[in-house]
Amino acid sequence: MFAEYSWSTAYLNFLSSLKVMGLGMLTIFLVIGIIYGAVSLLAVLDKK
Amino acid sequence: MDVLISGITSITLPQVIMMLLGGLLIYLAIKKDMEPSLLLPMGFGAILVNLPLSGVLNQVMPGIGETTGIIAWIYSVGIEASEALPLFLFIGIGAMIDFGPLLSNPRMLLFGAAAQFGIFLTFSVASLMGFELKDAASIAIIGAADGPTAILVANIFKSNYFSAIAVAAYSYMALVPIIQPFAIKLVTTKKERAMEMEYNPKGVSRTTRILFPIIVTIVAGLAAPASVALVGFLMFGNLIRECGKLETLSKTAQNVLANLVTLFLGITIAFKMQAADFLTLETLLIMLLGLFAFVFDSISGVMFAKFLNLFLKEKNKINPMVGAAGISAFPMSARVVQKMGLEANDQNHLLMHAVGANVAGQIASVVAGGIILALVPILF
Repeated sequence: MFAEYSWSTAYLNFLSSLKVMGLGMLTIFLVIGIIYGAVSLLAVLDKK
Repeated sequence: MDVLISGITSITLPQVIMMLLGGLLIYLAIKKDMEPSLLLPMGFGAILVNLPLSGVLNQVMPGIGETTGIIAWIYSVGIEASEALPLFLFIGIGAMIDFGPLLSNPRMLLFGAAAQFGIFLTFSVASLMGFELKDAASIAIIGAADGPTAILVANIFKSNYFSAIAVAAYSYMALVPIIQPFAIKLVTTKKERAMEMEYNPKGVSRTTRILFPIIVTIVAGLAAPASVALVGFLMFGNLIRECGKLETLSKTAQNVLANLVTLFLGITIAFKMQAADFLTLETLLIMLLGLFAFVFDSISGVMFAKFLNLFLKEKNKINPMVGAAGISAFPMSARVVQKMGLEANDQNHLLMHAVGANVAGQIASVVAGGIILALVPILF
């Protein structure tokens, strides 16, 4: 791995990984937020 | 005569080192009680696959041709071809989880999401270090603190470092009681750790318990289709548990299925612990990156709790340590938070809050695995 290390490739991969980080965290919070909403709604329906 | 001593004459130093490493894993499993159900089969498997001309691997025998070894076969069918073994284990895990503490306090779900940040941070760091994207993503998922997810992602990406990732994932899960207190203390004061939280559990109806796994599967499946296998099998196990009609199946999934799969999974992972694949500098780096992912998952959970506290009323504030329980290592992480809470304040019982965050971490970690599987191939 280190014998073939290329700074430019690593840097491009790093930039791509930052995009994955942003999109990934956004998607996780979106999914969890929807589940949160659904569970809260179920709790309200339970009370009724 | 040569045939009789061929095993002895063919042994290499790397194979001896790997067998010693196998012995170390067995020692840690038995003497230190570190994830014994996995580390012991992995350790013994490491010895089996590193014996010269081992019959558990495919070999070419003079006059016979190629013979199929049992471990090579189980690996090929149970992991490489279908990921069946880690997915079957998910059914058992799903059947074991009681989502009650989470359903009665759903805001804990947010910590499951926040505590996955270490995965993405590790992905970036590993990319910068020169790992290929598929390998960097597979290494990062060690931070999911979820062995089957790590195995599944590494296998789908055909990572060159599958065995090191599996060993790191399971070793660090066993080391949660050591790693997490260190990470939590880095970013909290004693006063913060002593913060008490009220626990007023709300009743959770059976309908909610039954609908929850179905809703989670559909929502996660629509947002990250690649996570359907992971989330779906986990939630299938939970539905069997909660439906109230499949008591025998639920108990079988929790005990027989989970034990049987764990047995085969551990010894099969060892297929990739052959000396030539494992004894590299990259293995050491992967172990370090796995540790980094665990630490930053814990730290991000804590920091997110502190961030939320900025907006919460005094009586609703959250002990920041609860955020660290948002990693998937269940139930070790929740126990760590409870223990640290009591150390800081002997009236501070955080267990049920931490359990809620911890089971949320189980859901979020498989969703994170699905998201990594969906997003990273686009970059190849």
